[in-house]
Amino acid sequence: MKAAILLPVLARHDAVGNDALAMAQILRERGIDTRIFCDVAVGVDAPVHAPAQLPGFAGGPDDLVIYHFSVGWPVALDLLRKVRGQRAVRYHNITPAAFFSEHGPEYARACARGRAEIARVVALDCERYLGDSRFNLDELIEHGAPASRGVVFAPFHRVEQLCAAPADLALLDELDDDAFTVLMVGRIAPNKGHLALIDAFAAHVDAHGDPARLLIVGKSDPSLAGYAAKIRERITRHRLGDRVWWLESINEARLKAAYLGSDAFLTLSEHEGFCVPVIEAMALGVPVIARASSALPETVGEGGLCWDSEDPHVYAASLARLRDDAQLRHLLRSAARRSYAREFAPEVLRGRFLTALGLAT
Amino acid sequence: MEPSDDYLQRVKAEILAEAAAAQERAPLPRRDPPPRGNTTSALDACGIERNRLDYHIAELTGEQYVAFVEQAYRAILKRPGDEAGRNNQINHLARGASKAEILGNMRWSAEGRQVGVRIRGLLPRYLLAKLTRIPVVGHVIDWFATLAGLPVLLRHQRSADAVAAARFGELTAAMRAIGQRLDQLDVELATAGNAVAQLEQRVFGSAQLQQQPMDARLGVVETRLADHIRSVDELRHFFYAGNHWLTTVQRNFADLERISDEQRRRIELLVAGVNESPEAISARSDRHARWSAELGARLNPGARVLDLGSGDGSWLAALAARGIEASGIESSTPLAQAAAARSLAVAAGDPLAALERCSDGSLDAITLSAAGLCGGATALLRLFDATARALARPGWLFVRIEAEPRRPDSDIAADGARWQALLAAAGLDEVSLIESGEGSLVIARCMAAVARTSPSSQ
Repeated sequence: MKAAILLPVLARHDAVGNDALAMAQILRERGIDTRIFCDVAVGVDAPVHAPAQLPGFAGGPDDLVIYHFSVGWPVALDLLRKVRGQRAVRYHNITPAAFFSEHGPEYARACARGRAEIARVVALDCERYLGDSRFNLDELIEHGAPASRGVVFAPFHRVEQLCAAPADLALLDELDDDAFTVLMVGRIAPNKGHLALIDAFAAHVDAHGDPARLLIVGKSDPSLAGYAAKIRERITRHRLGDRVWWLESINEARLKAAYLGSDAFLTLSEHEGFCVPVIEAMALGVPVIARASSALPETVGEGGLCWDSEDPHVYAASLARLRDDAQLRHLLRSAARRSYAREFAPEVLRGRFLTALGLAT
Repeated sequence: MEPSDDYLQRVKAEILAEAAAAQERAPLPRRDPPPRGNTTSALDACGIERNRLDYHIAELTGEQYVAFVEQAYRAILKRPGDEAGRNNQINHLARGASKAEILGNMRWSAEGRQVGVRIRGLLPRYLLAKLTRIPVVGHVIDWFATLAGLPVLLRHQRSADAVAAARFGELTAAMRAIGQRLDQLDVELATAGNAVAQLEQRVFGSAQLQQQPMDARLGVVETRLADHIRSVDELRHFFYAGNHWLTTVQRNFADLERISDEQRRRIELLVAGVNESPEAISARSDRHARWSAELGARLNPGARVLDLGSGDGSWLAALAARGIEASGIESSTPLAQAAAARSLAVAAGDPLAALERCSDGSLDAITLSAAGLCGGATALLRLFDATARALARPGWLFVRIEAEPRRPDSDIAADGARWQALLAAAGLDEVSLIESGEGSLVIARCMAAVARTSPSSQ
């Protein structure tokens, strides 16, 4: 038996890339000859192969192909039609195009293409559908995928490495003051709800007082410069000024320091297929407050406060309650750590992955 | 602690109530934000000021060549330069493009327009640079621009000359100062060299001073060691000499034993060769004939008889003449060989040891020559014990007491009365003594177990 991991772009420290690399590693540890096939590899030491070589390597009836589906990529459809073995589609979700229509027309077109491909992927009648979350799997099922072939398990992640990494002491020192620090981690994209986040933080400052600080950690994209400008404009309009710290392209040590120095993790993202930063916060003991959209309620579970509301004052009041209620903080931290250990620990994911593919012993 | 649903529901309800109340309240006054330290500077991990979108052209034209291009990338496009793009811009520079043209190309590229950095003073320069690229007209414009700029260039030239002259003066002074400093350093270096040499000398001298007593001690140790080695050599010599002496003594003893055995063998041969007088032989034959008659009268035909100390076999021959089949044991090999030569069943060996091997109560009679025994009281005890085990019940014991010139080493009593007393004391029955000339025969019957006799009763 041979196994192929197929994805368009393999990037280091990217959620999809981490998931693909971990799967390849686990399959190799099981003694299965495994290769990664992709068009582009960025910052990855692991050897990769051109997608066109996939049928020659793992096209036989005993072989396994896992396709990481996160953008439109017609090449994958052709390859999945050619192979004769077990085909598994790992669906990471594709952001609806509407989010990008104002600030990123290119992204909007790419997302539209990708979402149009969902039905075509389902039409391939693959043997397994692996959802990052129930939310993701349900989308495939809505498009016609048989529910009996669906399995849900969280993406493999680098949370353990983040927990083990040293924190940036300089940033940690800087955050160690009496300000109530709210953290948001995620790339600067319209679906991530940064504008609502700033509204909620401003409501918190207005209603519950200073000192408070909002850390926005996320890589900006020149293609979405308009969205970034809009965020800055919103910060200015709310007169938040230096209360908002925007940390772009930070390394692992500074990311860990940001988590350790924060009092709450707040995300008002409108569309998430899973949201790895939430489990990073849970593992590092930062209480989570989130909007109950897409996969977020499922990821947060009992380890945080989820609100099905767009009212910024609800989130502002949640932050204030978290700031003032030590018992609530303790309860949420404890529940988050239990939830992480039960649902998202690497060994748990490994077992679910192997079971889903029928490789568990 | 489990977050019970009730608790969380209550907390959520309170949060919602607080949110509703907060909307009604007037905003709180803002205080100063928390101070921001140096660690979170405007520079990100790549060293790019992402939040800065306003520059003056003078800030971006100070660097030269590669550094200028890289700075332009970071300021205008907010990213590090990629290799292909950087090489392209450097080639433009190498072909004579102005910095304003490079900056303008980047600023008004698709990517630059998206980022939207403002560079004050760039636009007129960029337009001028672009106009000079128009064929013919551009050349004329370039000429005019150059001519128009000549007074400025001349001012720049004069200013540069003045600056250069001033710099030259400063450089000359600096060079002079450096030269003086170098001279000082040379002197210091020479001083340091002398100090090092002195230090080496002191270290070497100190090492020599310390080495002398060490050498003396080493000489004493070496002398003592040589003495010890000599002592060990002598000891080894004594050991070898003692060993040699012991080996010699051992060899001498072996020689003595060998000589002794040879002497004994020669004596036995000599004894075996002693000639008895015909009268003595005749008297012994008669005596044996009578004694064998005594024996024959007491035994049934076919009885099993063992003779101890058979000598040259004359007694066995007398028994055979009576029709009594008997076997004999003789300790003297030459005598046993002489008996065997007469076709008599006589074996060489220790008579008592042979008797002890027959301890199964199967012998009807035992005959023995008192002269054929040696070993004193121990031999008698062994004789009585073995007799009691070897004889059948009833069984007979015949002891011949007679002079035997070929047995020089017997130490057992040669007195018939004494033997009679010994056998009676040992518990044998019907002990009788038959005197016959030069010898006597003691006959005893064994009816029951024979008691042990103390050696002191001999």
